[in-house]
Amino acid sequence: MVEKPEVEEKTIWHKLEDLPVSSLFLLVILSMCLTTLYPLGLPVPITKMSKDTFDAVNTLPQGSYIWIYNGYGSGTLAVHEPGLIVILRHAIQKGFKIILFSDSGPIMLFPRVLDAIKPDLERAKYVYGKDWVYLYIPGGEPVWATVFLDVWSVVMVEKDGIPFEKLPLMVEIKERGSTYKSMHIVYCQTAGSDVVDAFVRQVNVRYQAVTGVRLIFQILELMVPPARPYYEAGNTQGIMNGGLGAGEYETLLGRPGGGLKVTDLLSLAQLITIAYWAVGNVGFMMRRRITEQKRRD
Amino acid sequence: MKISFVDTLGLWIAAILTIGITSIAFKETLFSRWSERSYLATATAVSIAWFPTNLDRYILKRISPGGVWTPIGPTGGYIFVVFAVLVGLMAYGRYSRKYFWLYRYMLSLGVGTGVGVAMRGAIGANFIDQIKATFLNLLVPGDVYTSFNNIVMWVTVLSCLSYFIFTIKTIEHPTARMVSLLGRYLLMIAFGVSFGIANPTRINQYAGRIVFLLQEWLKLQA
Repeated sequence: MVEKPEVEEKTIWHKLEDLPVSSLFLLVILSMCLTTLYPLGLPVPITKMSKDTFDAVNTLPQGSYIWIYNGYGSGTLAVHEPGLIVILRHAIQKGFKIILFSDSGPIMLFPRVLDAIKPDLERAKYVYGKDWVYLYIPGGEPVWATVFLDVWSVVMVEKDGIPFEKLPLMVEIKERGSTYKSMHIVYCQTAGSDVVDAFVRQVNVRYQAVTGVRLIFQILELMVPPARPYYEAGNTQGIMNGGLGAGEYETLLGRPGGGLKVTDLLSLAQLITIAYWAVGNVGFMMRRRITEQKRRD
Repeated sequence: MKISFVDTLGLWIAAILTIGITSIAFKETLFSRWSERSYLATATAVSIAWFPTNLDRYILKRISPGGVWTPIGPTGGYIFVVFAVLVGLMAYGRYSRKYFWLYRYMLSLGVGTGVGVAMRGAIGANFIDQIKATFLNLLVPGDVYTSFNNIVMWVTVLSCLSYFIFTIKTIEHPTARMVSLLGRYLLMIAFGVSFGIANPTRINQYAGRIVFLLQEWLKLQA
């Protein structure tokens, strides 16, 4: 006769150890709904990294050229869109010449950003083609390397197909010589670590010693630890730490927006996750203790 | 502000798809699968829709004599475009056993160009600058926090490096083994931090959808 395996009696500790993940999702979603409707207004401490990012933009003189690579898609919209809006607001406030460039995806998402910055553009009397422009440049590192050397050799039309000859800003860039001479700061938004490496190589390593160009990033929170050595080594002047970083930047600029809106949501959802983690671990340790005690008995 | 019918339709589709894809977290249903596939199908359709634009801007307008955007490049000439088109067409060799070798040439050209461009800055950014940044003062007068950080940095660098030394016999010495073990634990802490940070990242990404559902779709304001 086959001996039946001994079935371990389910205790409260078993239940705590195996809390259903769906209950965590439900609690996190509920907490986020509650904090959206009833904000907690928790303070947002400003980190040195965010302050450095802000200062990299803020200390440049009026008329500087800012190149913005907004390489994000709908998946990271909540993180990157506030980061783009706040940088654009700052750049307009400072009177910079703005050159945005990206692949097709962000172009399709740009009308949302344009709606948000429209009052800023109107207030500063910014004219498209003269003060700011948006280029459609598909491709990766080899393309960016050529863009920073001579943008006219890569594309000669902006995103909607208007030739560069009809855009005073692009003509101005051509007249100043190589494109990197019209690059005072580069702001890169991405969800890919390889893009961070590529921009450090093609902007910082190649041109910082020549022109003093500054390089700043807005990346996802999980990309910050691997990118941090670049910040410590001075390869990048600042990193906006995901949506939280955007919230800090909004605080520094004094223009609350989408970044600050989600910081409350994050705090409570994080607390719930940590509580689940702690409960699960307590359950695991207690169950192991009881099992070992039973075995000894 | 008047909202058009198309905007309202877009808002509803976005809301339904958001709820559908979120429901996967609880149970995979026909609704969740439909939402997921609709998203993928739309993304593919958008990519394909840009194809004629790329073909027109980067190829047709450039190789047509007297076109607005010719000649191309700092040195001019159509030869680069024609060459690029031919290399691009080689990618279709993948679909034939007989011409698979053409695909390999295309791939090696692409990889070679990428590596060549990246190598130019890689030595500086990933090697020299990182070594330079490691040479820190262990004791910074009047700044305990920085001193502590710098000491942690030194200990971490040395112990983690020692963990990866497999060929020298001295690593069998008890002290060296302890340093190596410390390196292993410090590496684990670093990996743990990276793993832990993934959680707020995903919550942050989803937070945007919650704000969208409540404030843009249901018009519930704080």
